Amino acid sequence: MSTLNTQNIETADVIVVGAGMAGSVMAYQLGLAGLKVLVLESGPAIPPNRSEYLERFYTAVLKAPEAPYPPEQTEQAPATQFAPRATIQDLITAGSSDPDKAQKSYLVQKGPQLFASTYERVGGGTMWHWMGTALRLLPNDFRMRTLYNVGVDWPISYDDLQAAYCRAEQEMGVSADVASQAYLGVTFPKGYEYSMHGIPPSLVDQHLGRNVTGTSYQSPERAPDGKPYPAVTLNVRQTPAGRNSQSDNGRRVCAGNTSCTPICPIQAKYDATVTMAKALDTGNVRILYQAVASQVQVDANGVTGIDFIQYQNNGTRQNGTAQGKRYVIAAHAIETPKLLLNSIGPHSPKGVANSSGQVGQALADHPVYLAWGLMPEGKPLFPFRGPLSTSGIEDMRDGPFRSQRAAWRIEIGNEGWNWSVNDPYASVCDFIDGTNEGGANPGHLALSGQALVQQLNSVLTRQFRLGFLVEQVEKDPDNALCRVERSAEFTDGLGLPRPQISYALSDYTKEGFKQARLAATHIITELMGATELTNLNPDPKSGAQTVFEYDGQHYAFYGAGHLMGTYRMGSDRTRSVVDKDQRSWDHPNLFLVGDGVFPTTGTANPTLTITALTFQAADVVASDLLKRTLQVQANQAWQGTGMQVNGQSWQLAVCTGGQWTANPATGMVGAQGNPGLIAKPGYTLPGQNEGALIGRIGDNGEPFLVGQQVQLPRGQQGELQLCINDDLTGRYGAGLSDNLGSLSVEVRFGTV
Amino acid sequence: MSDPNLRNFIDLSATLTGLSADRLAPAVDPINLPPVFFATAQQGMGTAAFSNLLELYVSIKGQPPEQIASAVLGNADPQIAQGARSIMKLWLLGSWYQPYDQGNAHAGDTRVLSDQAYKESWAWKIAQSHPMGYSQYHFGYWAEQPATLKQYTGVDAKEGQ
Amino acid sequence: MKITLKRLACMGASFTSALAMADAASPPVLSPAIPFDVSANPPFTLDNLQHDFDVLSWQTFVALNWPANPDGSANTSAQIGAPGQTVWESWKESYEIFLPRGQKPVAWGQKAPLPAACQGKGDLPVLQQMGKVAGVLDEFIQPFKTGPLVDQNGAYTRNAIMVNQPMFDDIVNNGLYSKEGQQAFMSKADNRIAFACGSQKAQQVGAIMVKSAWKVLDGTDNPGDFHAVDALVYTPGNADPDKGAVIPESCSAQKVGLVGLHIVHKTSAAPQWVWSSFEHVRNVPEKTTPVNERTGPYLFYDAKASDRPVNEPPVPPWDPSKKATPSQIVREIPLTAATRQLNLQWQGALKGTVWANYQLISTQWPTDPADDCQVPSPTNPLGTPAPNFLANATLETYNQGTTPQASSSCMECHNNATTRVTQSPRTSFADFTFLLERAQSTGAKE
Repeated sequence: MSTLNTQNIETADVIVVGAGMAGSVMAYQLGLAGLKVLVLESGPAIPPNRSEYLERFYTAVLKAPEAPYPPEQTEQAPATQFAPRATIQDLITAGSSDPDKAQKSYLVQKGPQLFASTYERVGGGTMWHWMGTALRLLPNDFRMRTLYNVGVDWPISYDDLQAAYCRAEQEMGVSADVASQAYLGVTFPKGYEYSMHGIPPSLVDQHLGRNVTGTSYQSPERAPDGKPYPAVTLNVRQTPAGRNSQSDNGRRVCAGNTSCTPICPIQAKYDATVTMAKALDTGNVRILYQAVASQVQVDANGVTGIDFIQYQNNGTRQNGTAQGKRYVIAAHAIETPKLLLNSIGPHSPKGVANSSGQVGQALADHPVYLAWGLMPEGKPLFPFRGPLSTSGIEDMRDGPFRSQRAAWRIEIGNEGWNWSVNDPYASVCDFIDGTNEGGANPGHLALSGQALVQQLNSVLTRQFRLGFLVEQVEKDPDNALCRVERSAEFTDGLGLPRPQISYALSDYTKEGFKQARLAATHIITELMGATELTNLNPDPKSGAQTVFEYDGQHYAFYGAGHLMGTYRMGSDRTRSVVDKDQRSWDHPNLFLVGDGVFPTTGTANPTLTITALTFQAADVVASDLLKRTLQVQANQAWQGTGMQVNGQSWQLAVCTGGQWTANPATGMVGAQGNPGLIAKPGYTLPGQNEGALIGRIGDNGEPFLVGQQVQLPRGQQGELQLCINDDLTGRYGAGLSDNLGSLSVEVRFGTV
Repeated sequence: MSDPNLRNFIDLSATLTGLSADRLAPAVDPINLPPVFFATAQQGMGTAAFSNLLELYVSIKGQPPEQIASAVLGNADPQIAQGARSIMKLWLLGSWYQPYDQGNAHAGDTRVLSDQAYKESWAWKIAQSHPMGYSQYHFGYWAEQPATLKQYTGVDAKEGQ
Repeated sequence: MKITLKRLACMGASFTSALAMADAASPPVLSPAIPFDVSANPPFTLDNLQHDFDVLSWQTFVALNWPANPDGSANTSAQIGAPGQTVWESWKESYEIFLPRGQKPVAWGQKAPLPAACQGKGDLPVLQQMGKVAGVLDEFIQPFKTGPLVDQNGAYTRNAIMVNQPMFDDIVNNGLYSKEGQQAFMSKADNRIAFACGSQKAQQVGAIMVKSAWKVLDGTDNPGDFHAVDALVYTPGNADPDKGAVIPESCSAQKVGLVGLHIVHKTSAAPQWVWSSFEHVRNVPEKTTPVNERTGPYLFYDAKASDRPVNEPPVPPWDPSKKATPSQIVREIPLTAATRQLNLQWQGALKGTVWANYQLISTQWPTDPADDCQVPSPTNPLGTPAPNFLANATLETYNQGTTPQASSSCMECHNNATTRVTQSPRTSFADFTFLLERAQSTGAKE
């Protein structure tokens, strides 16, 4: 191995670290706006087809989320790998008595609980293995402190994200029927329709729906005043998914491969490579693969460059620095703080962007309570069919109980006991060997021949599982117990410190588990009439683990694959890392995106919210570099702004001040013009107020009202031109010649 | 490997798994897993034990399936009894579960034989479905009843199923 | 249901049986008669059946490439290789069937209007597709796309899809050319997409689709080495970055040479269709050929640049109006010895015509065919295809290989094709053609 010490400087308008969901949206939006973007991606390139990944998946014994992707999950050699990441294989090792477990696991897990979620470091990122669930957060998720006196408030509201959620749903192509999605305060624009119709419910969903939908669940909890909380009506509800139910976007329609996680063989499931391909098609985006960002350099004014190490498969490495006018770090919730904390310098004594001390703090997952059951004989529900999950029970994602304990959503699994006991493998071996590892063979039958086929068929077709995604809230959000820090002991193959994880679930979250267990048993045994096979007494071993004790019971938890919260947004720079625009408080040319910015986790799978937030951040970055402020004169006709509208970016024109008039006799007005005077034929825009600010795209564009602010019309391309609403040709009198004043107008990226 | 041995291996597998020989080894077979499975079992069990298993089968193959299964799976020789179970798992799951220490392999070692072995494995058809990651069905099939166990495997489902 | 002796014996009893029995011993007979189905001869082993289907492929290739009369029928008074439009070139092209706003196509015998940008450039066939997507064919460039194929002159290859009259009639008569027409068709609970099967018994040719790949011929190409035609090379423009690179519309008349040909025929023995794929003999070297033996010259491989990585798509954005880096392509799965031998026989019979410059790659056919031509098999929709994988170096350039679902297998990928009415399996299944996805909406309210 050799390191070539030639310093390699790469420049672009914007440097983006990470080619995952957020990095791809950022690159696409900025490339579309005409900015030159350089993406640094730590892992290998997006391949021309998915055969390598799929081959690895088909031949993997442990078909965990990481199974298809490099580095090979069985290697477990992070000390020599160049872009290692967390894996379930590591998690299993970390919970075992393997004497080498600390060195084998990429994450240095300090405990007391094991952080159980994983991510990928490849072109396209973790989106390769996401499930596809595209849920929005609830309005109350944004104001936990105000409403429930727990957690922290977001500096933005659900309504602030509405337009961005719609953009995210369109970019991904989300399949859902909107009528089923308005609950617990979730709203949509009037007449809104998702990109594609919903995915049909599986037979598992249908059976659960028959027994659950419409029933009233009275949990045994008591509020602080001793009274029970109101009963909740339960519904089995379609889950919105980034998954093709129609063939309109050129990718294939879902064929129910039941392997969404870890990989969709036919790309019916959306992944970030779709958006990154569009980014590359703008001609403005370049990606450096196998380029690991190692340090962020800052001075008193902001970031001056991002150092990276680019490695070849033969071990050769080359150092480089990426420099731009703006920097966006989109490396997900563990690699981003790792990078920032590794960047200690005179202007970043605690790491870059970390004057608050909050970088790496409040690492959160949705720890999952898994419950599973077996229907009685003769009542199969045919799992292992369809996408991994098509419906959920969402009705308890919010409620007054949230001042006392964590909420959860219930994900209905279509894959039988695959997650919970590794079926069909466990049950097949059980009925051949006469064992009962899976729980479906209490009689220890050892079968063969037709009897084996019949018994396996009976058991496999009656399995179902529920996953409760529990929100994670720190008892003291400003002094988090769950953290990412730099390991002082362990490094990766590039010599970079590995992430050290401390992880401890709060009582708030554990009480959520307790209630989840009660609700699960209620659904499985009382509503479904099934036998519950959930391990209700998992074995707590010594050392860091995924089992905890609470209120006299033991609970096992799993990772949902969601990593959040480690560089949260806020309105107070002493208690947050970025502001509501996801701009670093400390370094104004630095943006941090991804779900590390989430101040609370809510109970929705984070991907859709990551995408929505990134659209907003991209608008801010593009505006930083491309916005223009100009003076529009009252006494001139159409004036060019120099702002090229591409028809695809979301752009705004906003009047920021000034006064003018189309007729001095009627007085000075602002951009809305004079409401008492309606423009006549021959005016810039008849029917609107005289003196209003009017725009058009290109010389032949249809004039439109700008007024105080307007979303520029999409679908038209050309230069934005502005003009006062007046008698342009002097048909009725003096025309423009007697006009006075001017307005200042800012044209930037964003949504109204 | 010689043809009669392969034939016997297939017929024994059919008896043990309950799936007919022409399902496990169709006459016209572009995928051609049976010889691969034969070689895997032979190597995994060791040539001697594998040979013993096939010889045992040949000596009793006229008997009813339950008796054959009992003689094989309940055999006093643990290599025959365990090896046969690994062969059943091979057909049902596409993975070789090493039954005992043999050569460089240790009891409990597991490996997926190949992408084809996985996609053709029978446990999923027994579940009236398809392997996770390999579906030939069409949009929305999951909202409808599957084909019957009989259609998938030739075996009638249990009463009341 | 597996291939049974009884079913195959039926296949043997046809007017082509004489040809089939003859081929084993003597040179192939060149005939303009499109075979109705495979002629299968015992013993029914995998290798023998593969041979029989490969013979079917060559027979069909010859019949479809026969020079045509103005009405599209084979000109039986001419021999194959005589100049003129081939039979399949007279068939309807996809752009003539799936029209803007779901309009009804003009009748079979009539010519459809050319794209506006092509008008006035001659009454020539139009080639428009250029990028082959991972399974989904479309004029716009898609993500996770496989990418365009670039010749040694830096020009993109172009594709066209044709269907024969039985398939065209099924589409038009059932209203399947528009989204609303498909919805109306599917509203009857018994309706499903099921194109006509070729049948020995009924003496009828089934639905046939043809996909052709062409390269632009320039001064360095000898037109005599190709089936060459004058065509309108059309690039539909794209102004929407959501759909791909923004590129201008263009249309120009060029001389093009055939480099790849898929022929897909639905028959009673193969309700999952028979998939035949042909290439120009000089397209690419095989991966298994040692580098220093790849002498060429090849159409899509530069023997002097053997250290270049192979089978990588060009760097995006893909703009056919710009000269691109030539593709460096090899064939991943070599032809079998049996296919090579059969190719020599047929090329020998075609000696002296341009058609001797073409070779069969292989034929994919279902070894466990569906019970009938209407309903997909409930437990084995693909029918266990043989061979497992098949790729044409000009049409499935970038996903050659042997990984299920990711590497090219005609049936496996086409089985994922849908209609525009994706509600249930019955309404979604498109009988192995992606064409129905091209149906546009009339805009009418439901």
